[in-house]
Amino acid sequence: MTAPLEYARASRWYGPVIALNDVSVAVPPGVTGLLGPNGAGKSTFLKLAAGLLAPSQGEVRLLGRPAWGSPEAFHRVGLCPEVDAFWEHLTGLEFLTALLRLTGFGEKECRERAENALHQVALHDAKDRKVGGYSKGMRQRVKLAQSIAHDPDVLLLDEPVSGMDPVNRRRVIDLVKKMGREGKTVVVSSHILHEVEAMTRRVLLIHNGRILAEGDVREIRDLMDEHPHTVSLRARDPRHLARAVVASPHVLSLSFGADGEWLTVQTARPDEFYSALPEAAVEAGVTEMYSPDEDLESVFRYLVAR
Amino acid sequence: MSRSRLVVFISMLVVGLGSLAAVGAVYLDPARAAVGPLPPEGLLLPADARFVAGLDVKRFTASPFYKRFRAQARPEALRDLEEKTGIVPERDVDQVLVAGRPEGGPAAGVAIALGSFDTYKLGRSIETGSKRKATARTIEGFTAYVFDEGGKGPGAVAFIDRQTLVMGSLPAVEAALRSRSQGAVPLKSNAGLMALLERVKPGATFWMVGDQSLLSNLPGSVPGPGGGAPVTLPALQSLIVTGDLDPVVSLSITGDTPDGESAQNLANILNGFVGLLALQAAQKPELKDLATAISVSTEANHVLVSARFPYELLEALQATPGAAAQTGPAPPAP
Amino acid sequence: MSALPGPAAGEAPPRDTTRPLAFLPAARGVFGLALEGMVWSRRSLLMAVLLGLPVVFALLYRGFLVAKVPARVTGLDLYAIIVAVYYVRNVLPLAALFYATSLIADEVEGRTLTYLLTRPLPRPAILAGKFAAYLGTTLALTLPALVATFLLLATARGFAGIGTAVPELFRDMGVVALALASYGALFTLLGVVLRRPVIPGLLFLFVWELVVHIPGYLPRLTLTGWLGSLVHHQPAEEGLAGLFQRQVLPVGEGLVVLLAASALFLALSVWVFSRREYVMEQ
Repeated sequence: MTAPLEYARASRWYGPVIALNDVSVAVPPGVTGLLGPNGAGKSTFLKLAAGLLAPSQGEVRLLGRPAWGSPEAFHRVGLCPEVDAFWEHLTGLEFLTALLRLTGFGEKECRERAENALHQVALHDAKDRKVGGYSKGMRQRVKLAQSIAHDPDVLLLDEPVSGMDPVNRRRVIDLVKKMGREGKTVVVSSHILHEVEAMTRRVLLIHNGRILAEGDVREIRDLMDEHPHTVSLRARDPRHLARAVVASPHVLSLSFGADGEWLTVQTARPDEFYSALPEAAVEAGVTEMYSPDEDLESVFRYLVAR
Repeated sequence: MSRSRLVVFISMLVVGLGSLAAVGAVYLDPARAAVGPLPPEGLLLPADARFVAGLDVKRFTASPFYKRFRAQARPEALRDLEEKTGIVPERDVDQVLVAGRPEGGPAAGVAIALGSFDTYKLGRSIETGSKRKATARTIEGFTAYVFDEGGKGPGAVAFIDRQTLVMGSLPAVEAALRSRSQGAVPLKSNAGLMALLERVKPGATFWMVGDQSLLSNLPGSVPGPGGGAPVTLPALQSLIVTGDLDPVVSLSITGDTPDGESAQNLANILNGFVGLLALQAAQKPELKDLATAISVSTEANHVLVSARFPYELLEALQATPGAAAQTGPAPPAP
Repeated sequence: MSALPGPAAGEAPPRDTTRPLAFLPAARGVFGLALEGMVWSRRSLLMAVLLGLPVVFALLYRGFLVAKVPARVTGLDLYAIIVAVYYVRNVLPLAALFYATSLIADEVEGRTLTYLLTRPLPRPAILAGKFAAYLGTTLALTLPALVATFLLLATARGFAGIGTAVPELFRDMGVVALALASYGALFTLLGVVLRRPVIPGLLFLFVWELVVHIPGYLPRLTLTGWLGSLVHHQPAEEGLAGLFQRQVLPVGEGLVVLLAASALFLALSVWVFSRREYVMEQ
């Protein structure tokens, strides 16, 4: 049985720029994360799947037919695009019912499905407000709602939780997981690993238009664990903090900032470091923390360099 | 229904209602219906007219009659029109309608010409180059050109539109323009003339209808035959005249008398005159042919006179006696 | 959480998900969506003013008549000038230019085209629906103004003479629709082919279409030549005749040429649009 979404040596270029390079992958039912830094080719990957672009070479098949030039596929496919664009004069409900009408549903069913989808993304109370008046998070949710309202078998989500607050982010993640459990094929693209981790364990790593790796996200984590992880902390007493963490065997190095408030730690085991941190952080009066390795940019640089 | 569809719907409703109003306005057009040979514009003629006459200028100028007898045959109205306006009737005018009262007076006569007029060019021509001096005046929003006609009072010419001009005495022209601006059709209220017009079939080269006032100048009696007692002419209540000029000069006159007996009397008198004409054949053989061409009959209280004169006959009648002797038939061989 | 509902008992049968939507329902859906955005837009407000201006001219004319100011032109002559010169030669082509070139461009610029392209709609239906919305909007703005102008001017001096003028009104409504359709089809094609279609459109209108004044065969290669010939308002006045088209082309031929040209331009537009990729970036 063929996978719902298949790439067979698919490439796509824009003049001299190769956006996707010789990609061969079969995306099975369930949730698949598409991970890559900005400019890696994630959007091109999804646009090829959605039939918005034709491959310059190779083939992309969606539900058994070529993705390009098969509008009938969109009875069963939903796309949540990255772009923040709407017909601003429409209300949330009008936006959804108009698109459902274009999917072939009757008037009554359009309304029912639209209301249900808005419920699912917690926008039902704002359904009669114009989309032009929605906040960024609400706009993101209504975009998601239009992609699920017709109950598609394949869902392509381009950065679906971008701009969302933690509560709604959680809601969307749960929704995606539920759809995966129902047997739908969901492809979620993101450049933030822990967002994808929360939704699925199966990931595709994409970088410079190539699929670097595909498989379980834990394997990625293990790779990351081998990669020295840098954490910077601002504390009232950074020296006290340094004394607390230096004894740990996985701490590779410590350095203090010029202003005397910052402590930068390199660790080989970020999970263990974070587990041990809270007690020491309270004692040292940690007020701020960030890690430049939290997104995949550095991980990819590391992976590519290996 | 969405707001935008509502806007489109309302717009189409406005268009539909407007179109219906336009179609309805056609039926409100008071001048829409021609009456007999009178075109709708003729209804602007005055209500108190006692006669109305019409001339199809195009058919008239194309007829053999006009070609043969042009110098004598050109109606006064056409000459007047050309002198005052520079319009060449033969080229620019399709029809002329005249109405008036036989007794005359300041507003007695008015004429309407129908054709194709370059009103701007003609206006300039009238103001600057007319054979008769004219001054422009605005009457009811129309531009009228007023001519000094001497003792007859001022005359005027005004273009109602690019197909219609009205000409006549100033009061008559003013009245016509006033009617036009108010959308009135004064002649329609003249029931007598309207009834006569409806009896005339359209298509004649010239026609005329009039009531008894038209014949008010006719004598009430004529000398009896052979110098006998005078014969009283029955009063005619109305007169209808139509005529054509191609291929022969044909004339049809219908007179209405008070009753059948009067009609018969009148017919007898007319037949008598025709008979007298025939008796003149010894002096002029063509008169016999002329008499033969005329027939008089009656129908209830109507007297019908019809005549058909070939052009050769008219030419022969027109020739001088000497010329007739030269051109007439050769004397019989001894 | 409950599953999304399917069709209730007694409702329409399930959709055929193996085919795109049929052309007419698809076009109708796009028409409804596009009409909403087109009617209530700033562009339509400006067009309503331009297209409704003749009503103001007509009211002014009526005012002059009431004030007994002598009018050098009759009401019907003024109506003829408005139709042939103001509408057919100028405002309608401009309206077509600004609406029709933007049919797809607006969606691309607004990045909403993605939503249409990810529905089971045949691409020709998308363009047809948008074009129908353009025609509906422009006709809704133009025809009421035309009818109102006619009624105001034709009855300026009462109802006398309106009998012969009313058929001209209906003919002019047809010519207006044909002008919007033919120019609209051409500018739709420009809009899908060119990135910046307005300048070439203006050049077409105010340079190429001027060849209508050149005697000979060239007027047949213009839209205004055929449209001007359908508008049979030819006053006898020398001063006004110069405003109107001198060379009058055959009416029957004009109808065929304009309809065929409209169909051809639309067909080409559909062909280009169906094959084009639209990349909308954030």
